[in-house]
Amino acid sequence: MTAFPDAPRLTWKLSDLSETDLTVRTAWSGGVDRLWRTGTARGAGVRVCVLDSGVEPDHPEVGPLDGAFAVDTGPGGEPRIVKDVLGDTCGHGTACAGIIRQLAPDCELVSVRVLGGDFSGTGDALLAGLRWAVRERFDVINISLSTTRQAFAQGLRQLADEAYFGGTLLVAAAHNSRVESFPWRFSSVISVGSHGEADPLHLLYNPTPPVEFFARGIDVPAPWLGGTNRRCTGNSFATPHVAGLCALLHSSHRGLTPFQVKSLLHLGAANVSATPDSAPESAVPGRPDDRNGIR
Amino acid sequence: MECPVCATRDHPAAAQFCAVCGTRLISSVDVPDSRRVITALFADLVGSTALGERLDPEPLRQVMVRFYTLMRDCLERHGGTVEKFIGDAVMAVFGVPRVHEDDALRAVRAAWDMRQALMGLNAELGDELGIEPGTERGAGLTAPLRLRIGVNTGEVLSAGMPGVGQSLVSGDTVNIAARLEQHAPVGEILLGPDTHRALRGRAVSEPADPLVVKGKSRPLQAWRLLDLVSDPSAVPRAQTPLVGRRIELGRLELAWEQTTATAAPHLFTLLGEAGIGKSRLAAEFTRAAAERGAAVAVARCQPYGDGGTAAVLAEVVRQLLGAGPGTEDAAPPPSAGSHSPAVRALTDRLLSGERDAVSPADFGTVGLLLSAVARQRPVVLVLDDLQWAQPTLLDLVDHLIDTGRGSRLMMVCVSRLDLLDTRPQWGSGKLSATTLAVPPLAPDDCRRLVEAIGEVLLHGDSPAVERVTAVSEGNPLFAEQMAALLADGGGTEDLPPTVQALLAARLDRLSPAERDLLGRGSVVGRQFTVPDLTALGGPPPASGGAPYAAPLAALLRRRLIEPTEPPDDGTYRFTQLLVREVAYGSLPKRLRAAWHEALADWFRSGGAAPDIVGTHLAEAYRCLRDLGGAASRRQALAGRAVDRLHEAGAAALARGECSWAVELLRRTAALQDELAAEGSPVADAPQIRVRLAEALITVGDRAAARELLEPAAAGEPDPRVRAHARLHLAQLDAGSKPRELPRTAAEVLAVFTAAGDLLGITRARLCLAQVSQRDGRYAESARSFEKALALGRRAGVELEQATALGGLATALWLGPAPVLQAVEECRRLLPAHDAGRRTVRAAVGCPLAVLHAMRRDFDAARALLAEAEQIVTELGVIAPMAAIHTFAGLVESLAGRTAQAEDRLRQAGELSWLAGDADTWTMAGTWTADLWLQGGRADDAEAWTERTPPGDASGVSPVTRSGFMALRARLLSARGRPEDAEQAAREALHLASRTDSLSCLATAHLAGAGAALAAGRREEALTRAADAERAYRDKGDQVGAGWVRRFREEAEAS
Repeated sequence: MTAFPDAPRLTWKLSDLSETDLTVRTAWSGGVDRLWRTGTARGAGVRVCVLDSGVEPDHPEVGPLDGAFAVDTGPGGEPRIVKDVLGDTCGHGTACAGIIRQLAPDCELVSVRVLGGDFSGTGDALLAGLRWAVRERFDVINISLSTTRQAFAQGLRQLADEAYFGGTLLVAAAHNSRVESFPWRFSSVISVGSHGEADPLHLLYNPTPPVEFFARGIDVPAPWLGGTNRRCTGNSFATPHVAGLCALLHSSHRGLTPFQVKSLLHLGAANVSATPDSAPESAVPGRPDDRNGIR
Repeated sequence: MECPVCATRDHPAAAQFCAVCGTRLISSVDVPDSRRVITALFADLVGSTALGERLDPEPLRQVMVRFYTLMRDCLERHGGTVEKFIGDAVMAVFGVPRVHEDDALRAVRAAWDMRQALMGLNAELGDELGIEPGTERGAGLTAPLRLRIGVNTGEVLSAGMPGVGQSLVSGDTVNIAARLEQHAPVGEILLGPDTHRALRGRAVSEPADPLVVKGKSRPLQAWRLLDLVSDPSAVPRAQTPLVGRRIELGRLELAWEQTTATAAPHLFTLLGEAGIGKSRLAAEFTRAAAERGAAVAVARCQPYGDGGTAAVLAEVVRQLLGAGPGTEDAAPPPSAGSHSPAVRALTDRLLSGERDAVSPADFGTVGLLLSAVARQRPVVLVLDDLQWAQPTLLDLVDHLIDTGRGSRLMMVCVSRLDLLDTRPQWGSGKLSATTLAVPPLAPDDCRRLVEAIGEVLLHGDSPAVERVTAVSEGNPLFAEQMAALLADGGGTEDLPPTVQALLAARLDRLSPAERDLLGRGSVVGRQFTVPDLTALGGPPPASGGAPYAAPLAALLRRRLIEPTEPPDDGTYRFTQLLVREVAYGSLPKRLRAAWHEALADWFRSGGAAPDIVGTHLAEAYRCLRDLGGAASRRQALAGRAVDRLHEAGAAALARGECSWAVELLRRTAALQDELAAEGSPVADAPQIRVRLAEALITVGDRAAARELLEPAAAGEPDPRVRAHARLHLAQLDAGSKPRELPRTAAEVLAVFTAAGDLLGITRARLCLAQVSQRDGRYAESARSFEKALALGRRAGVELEQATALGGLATALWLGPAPVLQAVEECRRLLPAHDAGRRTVRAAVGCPLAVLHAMRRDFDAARALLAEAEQIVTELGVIAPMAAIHTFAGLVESLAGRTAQAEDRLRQAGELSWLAGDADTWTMAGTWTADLWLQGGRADDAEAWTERTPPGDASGVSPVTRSGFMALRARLLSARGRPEDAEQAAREALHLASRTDSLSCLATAHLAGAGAALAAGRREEALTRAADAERAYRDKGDQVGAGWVRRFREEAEAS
């Protein structure tokens, strides 16, 4: 009769795992390293949607958006998608968009605001926003939020499945605590938790899901409201790192399916190595981060 | 003494009545004024004039008397106090003299009843006087009498005692209630915004047109009352999951198993403060029990009104014999027929709603009924809010448990701790009983609850979630109410009216001495000592015993306060922050101001830290400002507050407690802004702003610092302040405008010298030393750092001394001093200046680590770096992390641990990229590419070196640029492009010769040697290798010397 059944085999947090747990061997020996994964890609031509609290227009660290929409209430009380005029209501969406930009500077970014203030998001708005984004066939949708309400689980699951087979990747933040919520809990999305490394490209694969990948999510420098920036912590900010990586993969290898992208992320994760006898690969293999000079 | 009604002051001390209005004067010692949240109700009778035209004055008088009586009955039944009847209007207050936790709901229920009662009166008038009755709310144009009602909740000052015939509450709240009544359509009830908020879930209402109220800048939102939710237990709580509570559920389950296994009735009492989650816990348990086949009944006692023992039992009977909890069907259920005649008679009486249906004589019958049900299946009976139960009900529970042997009956009694005031022995002496105090949720559970309140939750750190979690302190109701308030657009500092009412009612039940103690303590803060309380003067504590001993003991028993750790040092703290806030909020601001000022003096005389004194002075000022009145006195207080806070902030900054310094200086700046807004600016204002900017720079908030510095650098009249601002700005801009920094530093040095500003001189010197260091003139920079260090010691500024020592150590590492001598120098610096200053250990330790690595003592190097890393992490300073990673990368690459080196350098590159630190970024990248080249990954290294080399204006030092060019030369040599390699090596050497860094020179020579060898000029290669070797040897760099040896062997072998 307890609310949260024990599920010792399932991992929510990176801290649940030991070094041994984290060492993953795979029969694949194709050598998917960062070079293959991203090359010199900058995300050009990839359409990324940030389903969140909105994105501040023209924040210097986010740059111009390719569209900003919001879920509104229509005359009959039904949710509908309208052009957004409010920007960001709390800073969270701007931070997510900025992190995606850091990784994939040339991708197309579209914001869909499904939240009001800190506490005022509704499940109906989330469903409406996600439905719209899935039908718009974005390449990647970043979802750094969730709902604990079972009432919305079925609708979200259908949309996640529709996206998966329609070629749209949903990258969803796991709950920060050991709490069941949606849509990150579905197998058709890529779910993301946090690690504390400062490397934005450092990715860990979790051999015992529900959380499938860990990315940088502690003290992440990110843009915030009013043209400012701050250090953000939470799975919310690990998720756009993976969304950005997915955008890079898409731009360097056109036509990847969500299944393929997930496999590539797994094979390129820092804790996954090819043969049982070899030592794990160093944290992030491959070439240096080639950005054209500092200024 | 001040008149409670007309506020006339300066009465003679012995005066009994006000000289102006005649009101009885009350000594403030006897009955202290208090601020409290009340609900005011105004009702106006419509139609009496028309009635007056048709009735003789005598029957009209009778009608009005009946009207007054009816209205008074309705109001008093719900606990309201009728303040006055004015002609056809009535004004009442809920919350005076006693505050109830549900005053708003009581007022609205009274308003609803008043309207119903008037319908009854109309019907009677129709019969008696031949006036056609109409309906109150219907089309009833014919209704002779109707009401307009306004209800509003808010804060008032409540003065003196009730019953002196004058309004004793005053404030905007009452005026707004009157406005609401005037704007209410005939027959309607209009609610003010806080009343509406306090009713959450208990009433149905819709927004009415906002009211424009005189003197209010914004229209007032009003709500039209449509209906009341009759059964409070049916109020839907937020559908949040049950969080935590494993232990409590386990205990309930265990008792349940025992009850069903042994067939002995069990009394399970859940005790706890309001909102802690007792009912939610009971509901979770009964749900599970019902799933396992138990018969379940849940009934709730009411604080007042018709919900007596009979009503509670009737609800139990309805559920046990009917369809289950919440059924509204009052008809006797068919299954009652199978019971004995006595049981049938009792259930009939109960279900027909007889108010006096239960007496001790019926206890046996109730027992028969329960055991009859329990024979078929086990029974769980939940009695909620038992603190409001009538004695009969409590006796009945006793009886059922004592006599119910053989019954599979578990009674779950849910109550606040008040139950123990009336029944201290509750639950004792029973054969099978459990009493469980429900504790607050653990912080993590509470956070999860707060997060789960919204339908959709963001997965980032939310200040709002943190604030609600912290303030609600594990009370789920408080958390839900605060979250709901936030969702309605309230601020994170606002207290929800429901929570305020709950706590105010709890405090209102305390004795005057206990309330007085809490009030005094609340002004001190969350923690206080008895001497703090007595420092406030006022009435002497009760005779005999230690001061405040009796109220302290009472409050400790009530868990309103608790001793701090260690328990016997005489310090107490409010158990809940919100209790402190409500106690503080109930004090008149006049009193708060006086007490804050007294505390400032008390703490100052006791040698307390200046921030504590300053904070009390600032609060005294703010209270006095809200009250209006003479400005000069309060501004003098504020001036003192600014001085103390500024002093505290500056001291914190000097100690390197950077975040705390930012907090204190922000408060100082805010207070000074408030004073400026009053037209009384502080003389120190510009210094405060510049010092705040300094603190902001140390914590990495460069943008905010710039915002403060730019106006000061441009327009500040005081040349010293202007110079400080300019110097800070030049340092912020050093990356993009490297040539500006030395010029500005020289200019401001002249200003500081003329003004004798020792701190300024230290900083300007430090800046010039950093410029020499950046340009690679290390010997010169070392001399400048020495000077700055001496100045810093004279000025007593620690942060500057630490910076100078760090610079000195870097000069020893990179400059011409031989390694052994440099290590000795660093070792000398540490104890001489360390004195426990961890910033110094970190600043000197990093370069020293590389020096150790150069002489192959890698363990010593790693230990120093680990310590530096720990210090920086603990101080919460982000900026030096990139440097530490760079140093660690250098150490590991000198040690030949390639993977570790690469990892550290990658992190250094990432952090310096984000910080815009081009020099560190280039250095980290160069070393990484070097590792690749050595590791056979020439392609990767080449890709990196093919970028445009950093130029003169790039902010990259010549040492780093030389290193970059040397690497490129080696790569080109390896690629078989000797001419390009030689070109690059020449550039490297040219840059190195502009510096006095031996290491840099050696690297450039070695690159040149490699290029010569690649071009086939072996002799020249060996000569140049010898140059490199000489430089490495002069420096004492054993690792570098090893590289040369290897090169020579390769060259000779080729």
